[in-house]
Amino acid sequence: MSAHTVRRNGSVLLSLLRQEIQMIAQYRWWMLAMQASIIVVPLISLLVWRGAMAHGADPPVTRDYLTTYLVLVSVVTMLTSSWTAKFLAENIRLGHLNAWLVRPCSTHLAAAANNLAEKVAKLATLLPLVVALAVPLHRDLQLPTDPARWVLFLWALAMGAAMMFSFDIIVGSLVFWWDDVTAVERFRQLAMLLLSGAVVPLSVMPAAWGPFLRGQPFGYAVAFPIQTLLAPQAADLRGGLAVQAAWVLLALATARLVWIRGLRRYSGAGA
Amino acid sequence: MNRRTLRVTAVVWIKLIRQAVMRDLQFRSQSWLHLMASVGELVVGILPVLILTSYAGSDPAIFPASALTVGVFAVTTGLMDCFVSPGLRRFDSAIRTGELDLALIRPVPTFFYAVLRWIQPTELGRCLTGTTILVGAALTFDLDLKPAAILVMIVWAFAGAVAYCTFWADLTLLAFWVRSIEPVNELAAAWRGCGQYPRQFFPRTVQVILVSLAPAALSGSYPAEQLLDPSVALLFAPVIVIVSGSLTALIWRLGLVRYNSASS
Repeated sequence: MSAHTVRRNGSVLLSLLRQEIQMIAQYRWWMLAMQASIIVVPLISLLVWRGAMAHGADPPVTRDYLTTYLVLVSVVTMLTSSWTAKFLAENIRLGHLNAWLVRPCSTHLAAAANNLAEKVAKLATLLPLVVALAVPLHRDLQLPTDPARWVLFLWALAMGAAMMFSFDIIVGSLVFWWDDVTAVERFRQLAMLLLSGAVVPLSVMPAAWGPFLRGQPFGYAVAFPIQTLLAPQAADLRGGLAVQAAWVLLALATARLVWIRGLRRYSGAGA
Repeated sequence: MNRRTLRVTAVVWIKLIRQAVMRDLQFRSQSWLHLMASVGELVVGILPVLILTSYAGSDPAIFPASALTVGVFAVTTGLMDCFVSPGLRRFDSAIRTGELDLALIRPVPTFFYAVLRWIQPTELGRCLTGTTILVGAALTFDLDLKPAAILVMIVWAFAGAVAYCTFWADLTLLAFWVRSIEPVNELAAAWRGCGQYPRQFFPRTVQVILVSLAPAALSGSYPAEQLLDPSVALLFAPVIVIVSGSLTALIWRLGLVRYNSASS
């Protein structure tokens, strides 16, 4: 890719970002309701786990770990999530992709701009809710003070977001071959919910599942970024960082392959 | 509502169910996948409860209570997601695009037509799974369930499902006042998840909220409690249905006054 192409893509992305943020600003209640829905699931988990521990439950992690994890999980889930598959599938099925194919920039720029702009707006709405949740629990929160850990956290977040975006492209692109991918998307969301650690921390899942949970990709989108803040030793994270990077590379390569193969089958409206 | 309207409404609803079944038979592979996904969603919902319960070993009564709660929750949410929530999820869009006009001109109650016409029969798979869980729990834990307790549970599960649907509808009807409130459906669906955990895990204040203002427990843990200990008078169940239904009817009327077709 030449410097000119990069500059042009960057310029289009900025324009799209501006456009997206202006549009999102019109739907303030939508944004607030969306963020409230995101925080409800970890809030329920937080209430029941703390309640169960107060009644004598004995999970393999401390109360502080669980509280910190479940306070952070909504922010991490939101920042690494992607919702492109449904729209991409619709664009391909209805032939709307044509408009992007003839433009001198990436066909995925609009989706990337939408993803980034919504995340900025969502973060602005979600953070006050998370702070409101964290204030009464501040005695039980254990966040690291080492800046290196926070850099590692941001890196893991970016990697997780890239991986989830790539998965979205893969699922959306399946429409090149199938008429409808809503059920596939539903299954992916299910796997994501269960295996990412968004509902239950992976560290409290049965010990026998450990090898599988460490190998599957979804945990590297939610549980692993939080683990970069909560692990006692930074050295313990090396293996996780390597596996996460491998999954990201694999997801990017697969997304590119599926997209290129799919485009060969595309024939405009009615494809 | 007079007798003729009631008859027309019943006929329309039966035809809507038939149409939904025909649609699912037409798109069989998708229907099977949605059926499996529906059961998968149930499993994803149950796992956190089972994992949590597995660590709560000090109280043996918690295991049957959790299993029954999950079973009742599966049945009630299966019914909700088959008949009510698909329509509620589309309501925001119906207001914004003026699609509600089509419901207003039909010779059936508008709220009924706007909300209850989107039926997803595959979601009933969850009811089957929930019933299996209930029977399995009763056999595994050797629970001596009396017919009266089963009746009380069924009545409370129905009343609870209606109460939660009206709570969900109250949130969705906010679409009459704000530009777009679609994610409120996700909020209602997420909050409903409280109902699959035994109530004693929640702090006292939240327990009260879960059976009153945001009655998620009424569609899961509360009817399950009645199965083990049918102590609460059944009289309260119709009262809850009437109060929650009246509140929704009031919000609906107020909202409809504000509605002015596609440009609202």
